[in-house]
Amino acid sequence: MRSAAPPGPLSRWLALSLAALPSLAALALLWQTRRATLALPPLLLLDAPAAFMLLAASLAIAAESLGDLAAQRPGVIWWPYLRWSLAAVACLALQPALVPLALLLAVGERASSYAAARGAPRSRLLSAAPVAGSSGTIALDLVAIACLAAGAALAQRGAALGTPLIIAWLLAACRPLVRPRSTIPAALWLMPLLLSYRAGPWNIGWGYAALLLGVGAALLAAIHCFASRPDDGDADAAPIYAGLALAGIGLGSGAGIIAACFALLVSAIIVAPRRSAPTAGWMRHALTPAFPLAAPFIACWMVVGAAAAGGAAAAAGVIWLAALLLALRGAIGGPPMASRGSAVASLVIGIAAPPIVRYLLQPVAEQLQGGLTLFGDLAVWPWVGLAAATSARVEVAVLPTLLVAGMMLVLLALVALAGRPVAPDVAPPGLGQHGAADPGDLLDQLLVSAEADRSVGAAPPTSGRPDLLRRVAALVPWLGPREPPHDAG
Amino acid sequence: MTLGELLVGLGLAWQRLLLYPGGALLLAALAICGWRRGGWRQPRGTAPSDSIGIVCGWLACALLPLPGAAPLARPVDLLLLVGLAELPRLLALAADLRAGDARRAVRRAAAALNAYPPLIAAALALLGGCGSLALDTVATGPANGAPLAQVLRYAAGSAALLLALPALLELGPLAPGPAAGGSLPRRSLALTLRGLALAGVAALPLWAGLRAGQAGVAWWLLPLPPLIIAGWLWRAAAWRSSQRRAGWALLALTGLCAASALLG
Repeated sequence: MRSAAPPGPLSRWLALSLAALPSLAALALLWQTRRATLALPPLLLLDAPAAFMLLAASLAIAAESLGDLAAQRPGVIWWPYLRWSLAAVACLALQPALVPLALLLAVGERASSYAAARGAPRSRLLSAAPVAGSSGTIALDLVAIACLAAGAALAQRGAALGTPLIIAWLLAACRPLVRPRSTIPAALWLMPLLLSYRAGPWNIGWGYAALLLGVGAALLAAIHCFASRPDDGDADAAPIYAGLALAGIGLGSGAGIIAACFALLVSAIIVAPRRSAPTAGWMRHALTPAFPLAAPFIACWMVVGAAAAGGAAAAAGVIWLAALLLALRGAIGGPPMASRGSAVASLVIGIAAPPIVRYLLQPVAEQLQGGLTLFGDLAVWPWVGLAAATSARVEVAVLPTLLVAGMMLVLLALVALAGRPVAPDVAPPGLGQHGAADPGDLLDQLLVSAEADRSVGAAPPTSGRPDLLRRVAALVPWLGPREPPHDAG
Repeated sequence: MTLGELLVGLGLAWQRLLLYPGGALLLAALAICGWRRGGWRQPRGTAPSDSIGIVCGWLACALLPLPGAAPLARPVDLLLLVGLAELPRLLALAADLRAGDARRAVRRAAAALNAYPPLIAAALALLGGCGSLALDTVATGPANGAPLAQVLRYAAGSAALLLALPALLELGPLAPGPAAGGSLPRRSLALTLRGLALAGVAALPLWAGLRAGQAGVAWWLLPLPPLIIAGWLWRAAAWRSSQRRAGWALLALTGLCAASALLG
């Protein structure tokens, strides 16, 4: 790819505005449709579910374009706008046939950029497109789009929610579950499946199939993510959140739909690849389910709660295991390739989950209510937190995020106050030999080096991580085949 | 619930945070950390990541609905408590890696992976037994007159949680072992708080069992669950085996517990 001079302040401002405007427009549409459907027959039918999917897709596109902006790619300002227009066509279209058409256009752009990367003549616009794809990725995209097209054709012929239609939508929804990733946001792949609840309830067998598919994909992706190389960054986590979303849709309850929407929101903001300065220190845990109030934790909690409320306890357990694996990987792996801003956004979205659910996600579930079951609902206490409740209104999982955040702030202030006199003011010489990125890490090194005799020539912290993961797996019966003799403690 | 009620709820939580159980368990953790052969020493913990670990461990202790604790405005669930308790371990693991101590990091990560399945299976059995993951409900146990299968699921979950506790606390075969130079590192306050919180969770069903349908537990029976857990942990810490063998035992425990939770 051609590198160029960094964009000036005006182009950066323009790029930021263009990246943010579609999301704001989608947010406004969602706000407008939370009480009533916007209908302009026969051209437009926009309800809250479609508007939310547009918002999720817009956020994913904006996050990716901001990452491109941080990487100082020229001309990138037009690329997200074009992709957003395609997504808008897909979400706003009354005719389902336009959905695959729009996606096909998006993949066409991707294929052009791939061809451009291989030396073919290209325009300035295409030179700005992300060229992370390969022929295999495009082939997978095309297969999924063919499934979408088949489903759209069936729906246009007036097919009810029969087996062929759901199979087509389900196969298309599998695209974000598999690697390599597509540049098309996961929301667009899952949108037809979610919107199919407009037509009525699913056959319970298809609900189980979607649930099993989502849960299994999330667990497999978490295991793969755990064993992957650290330089893959957070990109590996994308199928996990897509799996959570599919599992939530498969549950077919209000709580499941809300959990699926929240997982898509988290996927759009947290998982999008960034090329800006990576996070360091404890804040990187805010990008995984390790931090209890961060958005990934809340997304996993919602799906676990929805599954438990719906009576799918085994699915809840598997999702919980996948979340714990992802959290552990965050601690073992290198720093996530995401900016400090996304870590802050994750904390804000996680703590503010109750109002987000109340004002943005509950209307989505309410407008699909005709097709949903009663097995699981998400109760919201707007100023306190969330609770997943069964059909008998028994709260199986409760999470007062704002209350816990307040308590955490009080304790943080107390600990900071108590710890201040003990902290050394001047770092001793020789500190920072492991390349710690922030003062907290430097102090960690000081404390750890004071308590442990480090052997001379110890491996640097990021080297040998694949070997480390292999050694971990060898000590865990359900992950590894053999035990190496030197760790047989 | 309004903003004012949230602030009232926060204001009423000070007893839980500072007195009991938060303050009392913090004092206990300080005592465990500070008391060494040579007397009292300053526990570690001033860096930002250490502070976060201590806060999470302290909060996990404060949220435990132990007997006699003041009620919270809203209950919390087992998922949040495990999340709060796991963060100090993940921070300790990252600190081991930064220190170049790969062996301790490997053993710590493997201990976590071995402990997660029985923990989740125990939680699911408790869910099947009392119908909720909320800590208040877990501490109450099955309602009076609940079917026998439900009571058995609750008992299986309690037993599995108790049996998995040494793995969760990295004791015995799952201990991370000495540091790279062979010396035992100083005990971390965050990890000690985490251990107390998890031990408190395991004690909740025992108190519920002692209550056995009565309004409360007799005062002279209150110390019994902590003593049982302390004895079990002391015994488990002395167990010598390989971590992989312990992992197989935990996997078998997971299978039994999951079968009782899902099929019972």
